[in-house]
Amino acid sequence: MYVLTFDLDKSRLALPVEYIQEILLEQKYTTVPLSGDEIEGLFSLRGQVITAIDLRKKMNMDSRGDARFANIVIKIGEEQFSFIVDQIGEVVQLDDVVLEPLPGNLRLKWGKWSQHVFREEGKLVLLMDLHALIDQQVIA
Amino acid sequence: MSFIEPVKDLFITESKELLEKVEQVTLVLETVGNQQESLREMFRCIHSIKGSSGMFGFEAIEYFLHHFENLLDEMRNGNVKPTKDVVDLLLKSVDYSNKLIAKPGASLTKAQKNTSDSLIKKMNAIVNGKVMETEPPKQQKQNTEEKVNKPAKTEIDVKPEVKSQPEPKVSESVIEDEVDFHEGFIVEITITPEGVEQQFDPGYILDELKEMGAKTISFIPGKIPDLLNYDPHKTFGRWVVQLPGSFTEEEIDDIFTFVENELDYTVESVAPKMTEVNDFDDEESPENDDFENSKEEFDFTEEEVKVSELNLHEELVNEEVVEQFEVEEEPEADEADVEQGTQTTQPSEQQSSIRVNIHVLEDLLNLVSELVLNRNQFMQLALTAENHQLNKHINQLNRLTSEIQETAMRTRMQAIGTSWTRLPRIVRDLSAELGKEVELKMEGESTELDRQVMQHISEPMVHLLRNALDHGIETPDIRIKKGKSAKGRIRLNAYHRGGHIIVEISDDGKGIDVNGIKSIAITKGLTTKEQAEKLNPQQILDFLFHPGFSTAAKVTKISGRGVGLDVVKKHIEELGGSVELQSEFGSGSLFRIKIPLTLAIISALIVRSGDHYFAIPEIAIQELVWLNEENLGKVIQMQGNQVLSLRNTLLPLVSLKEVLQKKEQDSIENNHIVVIQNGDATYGLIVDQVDQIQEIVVKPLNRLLKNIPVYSGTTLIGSEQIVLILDVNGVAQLASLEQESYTKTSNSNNDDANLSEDKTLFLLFKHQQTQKAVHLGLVARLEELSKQKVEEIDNQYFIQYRERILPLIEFKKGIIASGVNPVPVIVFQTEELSFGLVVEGFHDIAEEAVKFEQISKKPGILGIAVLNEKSTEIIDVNWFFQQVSLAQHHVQMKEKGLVNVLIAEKSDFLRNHMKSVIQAAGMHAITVSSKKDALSSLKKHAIQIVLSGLELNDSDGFMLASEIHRDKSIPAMIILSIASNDISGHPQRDQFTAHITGYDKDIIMESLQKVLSNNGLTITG
Repeated sequence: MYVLTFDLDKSRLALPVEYIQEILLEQKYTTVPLSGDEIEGLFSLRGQVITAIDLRKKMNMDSRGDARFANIVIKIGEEQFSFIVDQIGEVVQLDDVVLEPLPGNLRLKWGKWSQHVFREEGKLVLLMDLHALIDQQVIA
Repeated sequence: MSFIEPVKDLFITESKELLEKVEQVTLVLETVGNQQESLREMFRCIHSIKGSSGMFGFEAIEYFLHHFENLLDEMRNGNVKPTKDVVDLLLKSVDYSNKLIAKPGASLTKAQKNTSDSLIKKMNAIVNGKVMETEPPKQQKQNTEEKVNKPAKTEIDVKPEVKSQPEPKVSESVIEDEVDFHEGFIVEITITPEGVEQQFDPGYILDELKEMGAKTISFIPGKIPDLLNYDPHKTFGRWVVQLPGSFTEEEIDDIFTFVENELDYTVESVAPKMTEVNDFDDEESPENDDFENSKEEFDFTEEEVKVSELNLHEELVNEEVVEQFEVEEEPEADEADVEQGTQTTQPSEQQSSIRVNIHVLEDLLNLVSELVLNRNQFMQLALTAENHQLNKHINQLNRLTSEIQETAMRTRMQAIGTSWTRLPRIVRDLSAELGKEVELKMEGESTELDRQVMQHISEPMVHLLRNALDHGIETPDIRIKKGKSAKGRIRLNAYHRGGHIIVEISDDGKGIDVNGIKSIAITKGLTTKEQAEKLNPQQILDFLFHPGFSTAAKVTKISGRGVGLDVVKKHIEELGGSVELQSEFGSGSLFRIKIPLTLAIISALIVRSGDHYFAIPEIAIQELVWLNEENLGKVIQMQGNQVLSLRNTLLPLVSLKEVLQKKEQDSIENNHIVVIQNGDATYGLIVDQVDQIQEIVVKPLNRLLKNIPVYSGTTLIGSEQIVLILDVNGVAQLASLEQESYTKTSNSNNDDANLSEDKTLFLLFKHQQTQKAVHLGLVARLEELSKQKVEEIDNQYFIQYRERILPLIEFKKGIIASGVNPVPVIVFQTEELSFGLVVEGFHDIAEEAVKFEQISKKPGILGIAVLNEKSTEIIDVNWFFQQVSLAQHHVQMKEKGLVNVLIAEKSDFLRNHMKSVIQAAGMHAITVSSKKDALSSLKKHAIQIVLSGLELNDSDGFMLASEIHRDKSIPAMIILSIASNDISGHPQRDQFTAHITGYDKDIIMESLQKVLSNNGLTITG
């Protein structure tokens, strides 16, 4: 399995490549009144309306401020999402690395969205559970 | 076998469709009588299912259908008439077949086996019985001939052959053959994929079997899967060889010795008894109990299409058979039947359609939607480019795109009749169950609508149909008494009207008793007697759509399922449609469903609110009102809410900005009001600006946004502008706009007027420039009370009134504090409770026949009506009574807890003395010695009463009293002094509740009790 790593705040995370449709730079978002805080808005991509989720807000991290960011466009079935992250890393083949369970002290903060970590270039990477990220109920 | 799975699904779908057709035709049979074409069609359907089940080896299905087919064959030949019993049996058989097909290949349960056996028994009884009784012998023979093939025949089918043969001879020989084959084997042969690869020719094996004396060699073609699932290495069919005579199985196995890899074969021995099945020997033999064992051994000679050459295309064969049948039967068939038969035959229509995977269609439609958007963007560019050549091409692109879109949308369209096919059956079964006679008439079956929409309205339609059957149509005896025909009529009608499809379900039954509905609505608390009197019949009928409303006196199996018309309504409204009910008591009812043709592309108004653009489906929009200077005056402020007075109707207003952005709506001048009417929701939506109405492609909402009630989807307009589509019901919900609006129609008929002819007296009073009213009959007295007499205890106002304490409620907080003197009070009184409603001023008394414009859900307000030519809110007195009794209850609650007494006294001795008195009385005492401490204690604790001595460390009791008095939330205060002359005539006497002289325990308690009981408290303990 291949995963794409990316940075978010001070952490490095990864998502399975399988569901990633493409990477985009900043987009013009149409905000959705009454939506949850983490919903950055909607943008159109070749005739499709894509819902963008600010992963920092989703995971209660500090605001990114004016720093540049990127969109990871995800496609699951017919639905498309986009995760707004700080910076795109690289594609890693997971067969070469050892997956370890999430260390206990990380579980409180990350356990909802991630079960495994792996080491890459001496850095701990959290393998995100994509479905947990999008299936969370958003309270408007 | 792995290839089975995908093909199996196809088998199920196809068989179900065929069975559906059989069912449909069966129902027609009963009404039209012996119709040759129908019977032929039924036979064909059952025959094809049987064929394909055989091919898959679904033996149970094949076995059952074989008997089914037998019966149909007899009917087709006119030997069995479609009487009610026969039709019943056919329908039951269809049901049973449906069950079997749902789980093809599964082994039968015991119950299923019983059903199967009993159905087969009945079928055989009919087949054999009828043949013996009613038909001349000649017919029987011919009949038998048709079933059995001549051994040497190598051409397509027996039936036409039979015709050309001299009859007696053939029939005899056939019967002989049949007898011959009482013993022997049935060998089934299929070619394995390996055989196909090696281009194996089974011919010589067949020849060998022929040499061994094979009676018939038939090829049973199977269903060839569609191209996607087609496996070129598979063959789809099998040979069935009847091999009479006494061989050992080894002898047969020997034939296949060298072709084991290329061929799959099965050998089954045939027991002598089995010919009973299609022979009239049956009559004599007791029962066909052995069928279970021998079902595998069924000869396939009957009705099977027989070819000795490879013919893989079943349809082709069937077609041919059909043609020949027609030729054959023509002379015998009754003329009328033939005519009808030819009228109903529409073979070409069926052939011109093909099966397409739904996902492929959906993909195509999505692409078309994108194309449309792309075209729109081009058009915008072209407008600015001013290039004629470009414009010309873009215009063409525009036209083509529109046509493609239209055509693509048509692929989603389906005739509504396809969802009606099961309705005749429902009507038949239900009317039998209910002992009613009902004729179902369907019109406009070919009216097309979006497949997706159809899926959604199918259930509501069935519900309304059941409803009409159960509640509408009367039993025949009642109908006759009423002078109607015994047979009730239910009519389904569908037609197009302006981008919508209208489906009407009407009956000529008993209609709806408006008074009955009214009394139920009152009993169920949906309305009050008074309110109900003011409603017109249409408004009363609307109660039927209220959740939980069911008029069925008893819960019946048919429609009393706890699902009411409210669910039907909800379903339809979710699609952006509406349901309407018309009924005339005694002569019938009509439900009219109106729904958009498609859900994928809708016409919507684009509006702007702040920086956001939204789309409002056009179907929900009634009109637009521009708030120019002239119209601005029609917006009335009422209790902090805005109402639009529109042609005698009061329309609640909702500001989109307030709902969505939680921003205050600033000046509404030059804004627009979109008047929304969609089901229950009738309101005016204030938006900043309206743009244009345009066709938009609805894109579903992402799951992360689905829980926001105000949106139903998104769309793209122009140059990639994303627009959210508003769900008008959701907006109403969020604005907690729960009024059920009853719109006053200008052309109200006489009935309405009669209903509300009774005039009522209303007391009108003013409130902040608006007019309120209360039913005068409820008012005990009007009083103007001196403000000095108004006492304020624990945030509540009271007055000594006729030796009672009268609680006062301000219509709006602050009237008393504003210093009105005297205070206008409306006194309401019941046996247990009375209260005074403090208002700003009395205004007038009006006698009017009141019709509520709106029933309000706002607490304390019954609704809005026009009185003295002014829109007026009518007060709900009961609500205020509830508030008073609640307040008293509140006081009683306090009583259970401790009474907190604050003791302020400079002297340690006196302070401790008072404290012990209070504590001994079961109250809680807080002691302080200074005014400063007293005030801070009052802030910290909930103190009901203050006991203060005259002297405090930093002040005196009077100073404390005036401080407390200034604070409106003061508790009662008692000042204690040693000598009485210290107090009398004191300028601050008004500022405390009571004064006692001395520190005697009994006097303190007496005074406390008095003050507390005035305050609604008693001392416990």
